[in-house]
Amino acid sequence: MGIFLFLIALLLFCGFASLLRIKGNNLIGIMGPIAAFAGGMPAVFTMLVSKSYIQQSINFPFPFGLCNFEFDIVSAIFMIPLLLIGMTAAFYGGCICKPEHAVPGRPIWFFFNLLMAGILLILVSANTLMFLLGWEIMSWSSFFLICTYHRKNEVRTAGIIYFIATHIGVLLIITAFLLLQGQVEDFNFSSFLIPESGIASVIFILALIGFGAKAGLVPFHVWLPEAHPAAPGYISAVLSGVMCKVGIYGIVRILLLMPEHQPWWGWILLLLGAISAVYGIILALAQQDFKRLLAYSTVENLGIISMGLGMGVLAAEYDMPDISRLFFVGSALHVINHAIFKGLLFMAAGSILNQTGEHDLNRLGGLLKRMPSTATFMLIGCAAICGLPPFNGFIGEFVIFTQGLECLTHESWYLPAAAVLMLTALGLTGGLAMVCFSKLAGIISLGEPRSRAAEDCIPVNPGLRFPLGILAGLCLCLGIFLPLLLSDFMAWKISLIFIILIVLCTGLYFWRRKLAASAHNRTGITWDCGYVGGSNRIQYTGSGLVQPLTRFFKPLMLRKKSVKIPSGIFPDKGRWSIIYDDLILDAGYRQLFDAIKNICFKLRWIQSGHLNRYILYIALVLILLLIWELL
Amino acid sequence: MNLFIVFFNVALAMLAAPLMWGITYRVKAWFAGRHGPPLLQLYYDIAKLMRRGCVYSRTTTPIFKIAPAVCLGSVLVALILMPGAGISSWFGFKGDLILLIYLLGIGRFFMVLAALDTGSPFEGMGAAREIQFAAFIEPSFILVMAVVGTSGGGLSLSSLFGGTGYHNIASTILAAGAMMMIYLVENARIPFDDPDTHLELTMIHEVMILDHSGPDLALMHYASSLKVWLYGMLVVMIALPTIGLFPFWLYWCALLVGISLVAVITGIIESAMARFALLDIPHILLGIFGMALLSLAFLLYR
Repeated sequence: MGIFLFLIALLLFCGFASLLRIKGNNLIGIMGPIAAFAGGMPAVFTMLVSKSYIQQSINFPFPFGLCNFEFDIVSAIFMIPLLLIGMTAAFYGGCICKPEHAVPGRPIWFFFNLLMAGILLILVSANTLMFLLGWEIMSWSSFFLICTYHRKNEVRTAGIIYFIATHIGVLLIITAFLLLQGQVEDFNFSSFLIPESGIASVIFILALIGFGAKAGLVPFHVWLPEAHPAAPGYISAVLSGVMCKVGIYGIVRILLLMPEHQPWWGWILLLLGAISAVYGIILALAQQDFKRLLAYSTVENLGIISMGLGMGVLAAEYDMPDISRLFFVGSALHVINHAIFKGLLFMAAGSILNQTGEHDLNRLGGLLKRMPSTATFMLIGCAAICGLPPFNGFIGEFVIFTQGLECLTHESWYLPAAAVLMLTALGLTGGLAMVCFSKLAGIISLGEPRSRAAEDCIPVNPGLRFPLGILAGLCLCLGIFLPLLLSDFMAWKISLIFIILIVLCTGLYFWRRKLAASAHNRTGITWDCGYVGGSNRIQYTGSGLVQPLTRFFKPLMLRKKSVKIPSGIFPDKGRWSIIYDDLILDAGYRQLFDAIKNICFKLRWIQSGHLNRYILYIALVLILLLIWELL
Repeated sequence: MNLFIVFFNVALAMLAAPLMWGITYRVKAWFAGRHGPPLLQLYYDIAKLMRRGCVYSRTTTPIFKIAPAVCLGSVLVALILMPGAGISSWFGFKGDLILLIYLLGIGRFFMVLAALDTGSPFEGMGAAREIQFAAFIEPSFILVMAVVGTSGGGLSLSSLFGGTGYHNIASTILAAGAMMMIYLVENARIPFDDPDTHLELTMIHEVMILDHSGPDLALMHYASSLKVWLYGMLVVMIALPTIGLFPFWLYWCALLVGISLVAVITGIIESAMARFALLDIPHILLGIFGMALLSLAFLLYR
């Protein structure tokens, strides 16, 4: 336990040291997360392997009182993405921030270390003040990281949207903690009283919205698709893989702090999760900007995790403790797995963006030939995020699915209904995720390049491939070996089947190669009905690939179409573009905030700037207070 | 014994699967008043393709060559999960029905990637339609599997035999109907896809393997026929839960006859109907989902 407090101090030290104008200050900043990984992982593994789930706690004397720090199994699970993605992202960022890219006055490593320290503080604190301190550090430092390229207009907009969203969230979280705290003198979680059910429900709702805004659950997700594309790839990896998970951690922590749950809490978590999953993946598949696509897919995956939590709460309420526990296990597995493949995909996307300068996937293509290792790792990430065996995305969804089937046999009315909802939502999400990621993988890395930038791009330097390789390797290894940890099923059979699958497919591939080698093979062009004037532009684009689905789900999205038809005797270039935007941001929040802005503008006459009028206000308030007192 | 089941399942499928193609086409020819191709035509085709060389497009990457192996490998692994003769497969476990769906997903993922790999607009179009149908059919498939898992108890494919027969006739009929529809969708048959049209633009599955040739095409055809067999097996087992009570040898004969019957029905449907309009298909797929949901509801809230 003490090691984590030491690591927080170390990260803070590395962060501040990287600000110094000395040689190698960036290196110090990079070493922080790497040292945290090396120092923290043994403690996390000890906790997970021992299976004792015993909380280790420390009381630390601060000027404002004794603060309690705790390290339990929940912290350990969320610690894995933090340390792992933090380390790989720092390594990746260290290789990318070459001197010619590093612009002075952009202290990325300071904020990066601060972000890690903040999240670490949240995960180990069992004290309201420390928790909120960590939360603020995390929110602020991530804001500055999102605004790394602050000279771009859209980055500043994204930063402001994130800033507003995160602060509305923190307001609700503080309120929830204050309600939970009640009249107790010290701020430690252990001295919380058990709230009565009405207050408990209010606390749950406040915390759900507050933490849900961080986790990116629909309809509180609007900052996420703006912020993730704005930040550099490795920062998005940390934001999506780690910071969003902290929102889930908050929800789990609140559930653990309140021993008595209501069944409808489970329903709300389930519904929010189902809506997030389906809505997230529908918007993801409609996107053209591949980092925005990944951001929406984060919404989808967090939705899956939330569905697992909701079913876990429901199953516990209907007296199925074993099944409830496995739902939580499934969600936890998905937390870890999602961090790994999403970190991989965001960093691969960052590499592709750096090499081509294109963020529209319809203008890419053929990168498997031009950036072989990056594109291969991205393909692995895409297969993993679809939950395809033998990669790691499968096992979490599998556990949630299987427990959903178990719930069907319960004799009550509600639990099977919830399970049917969950199975449907998860099934639809799985099917749509396959579309979304075959689009991402297929359009970017396969076929012919669709633009000059994609045609001329060169491979990234080896240092940037290394962290991707680690994560891709983990996708495969965890996919095969994670099932072995689940003693509740005969899950070793899954591992065995995966190994058989790999061996069989490899065997078939080599057998096929041998057959083909003995015959006469030719190379030519792709079949185009004998027409030889084909260009790369006739290929299907990403938008074309998903058009049948975007057409079907059109009511759920805001369709922005701009057409310019060539006209005149000497027609110039025509244009035709469709962008699918978020209905909730554009038709929901933007309208709401515009309305608030209008009201505020209408009330501007109050602030006239005349001193005598302000004195009148003071007098009026005093008179009102006097009347109040007299009544 | 359980390992024998795996052996029999895989051996029977590998031997007899291409025959189903022949049966369907014979039925179609009979309806059209033609003689039709020999029953063993697909065997001849595969044997011929195996000896031929390949033509590769310069656009393609190794993904194009990996895809046929993965398509065949994933279907074979899915087959080893299937139970037989009232006994579960040695590889069967609680939740294997979910793994089955995902295993079939890998083959589709790689087939779509291989189609996009050629850079051909035809194959892109086929891929777009294939994954769209697959996305809509997935919830229905999962709910049918939920019916299977809960009706027999045990939540595994072996619970296909776990039920004591038709204890809930409405649910069984609806589930079998939904499964038959899923069979038609996933195997790209009329009324969802027409594999025999003369234009590349109007095909879905067939156009995706347009650029495959030689052994690659043979593996793809073989994988497709095994997929037909696998889905046919599921249709037969859901429609006829008592098949698990048959004696060992009779079971395999009944299975063969049952799947052949499914192939005959496919032929009849293909002769009697035209393909649905492409834009209507998502709504029809939602209808199949309704069938599956109703089947589950009859089972759970009787």
